[in-house]
Amino acid sequence: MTKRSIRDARRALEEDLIPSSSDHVATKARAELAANEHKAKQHADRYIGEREAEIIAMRDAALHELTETRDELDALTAQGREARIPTSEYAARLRELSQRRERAEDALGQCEALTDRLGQIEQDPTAWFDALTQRMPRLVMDWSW
Amino acid sequence: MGRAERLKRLLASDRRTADQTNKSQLQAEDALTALEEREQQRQAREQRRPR
Repeated sequence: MTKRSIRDARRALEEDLIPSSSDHVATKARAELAANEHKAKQHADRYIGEREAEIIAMRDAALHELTETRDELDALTAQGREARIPTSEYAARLRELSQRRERAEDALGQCEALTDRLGQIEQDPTAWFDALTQRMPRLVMDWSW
Repeated sequence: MGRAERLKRLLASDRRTADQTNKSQLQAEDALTALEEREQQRQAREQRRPR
């Protein structure tokens, strides 16, 4: 058994093994490749599921913060228009709400960046798995060629 | 549709809420400007008032 990345195993299968092997050996090797690619995809699916839950939790919190901040800004504006609040107090409250809005928007931006990353993993789960094995060598798969 | 695509659509709809909040902030800033102008006018009147 040889430890290889999926990409390397696929290349070795196509360039070295298949041209020099019987149909039986090639079919068996292709089945091994498909099984290991399936395992990598399952890893990627689990990872995506976990990250998806984190993104949704972060998104829910950011959205709640944005709607609450919007309502508080509207209430503050009404107070200001009716001159029911000292200017300095109004300005301080506005600064605080503005910071809350910026933080919530930053969180939404983070959610978008993480979602883009998940999209890349979904498109090529085996490439993601290969990259993961570079950081975690114990996950590198065994191959019969 | 993949999970990332679903999330992207959800986040795109959240941008509308972000835009509304941004609009509310702009209105609050306008109201602050009006408050500051009123306060300056009041201070100017007080300074002109004979003691």
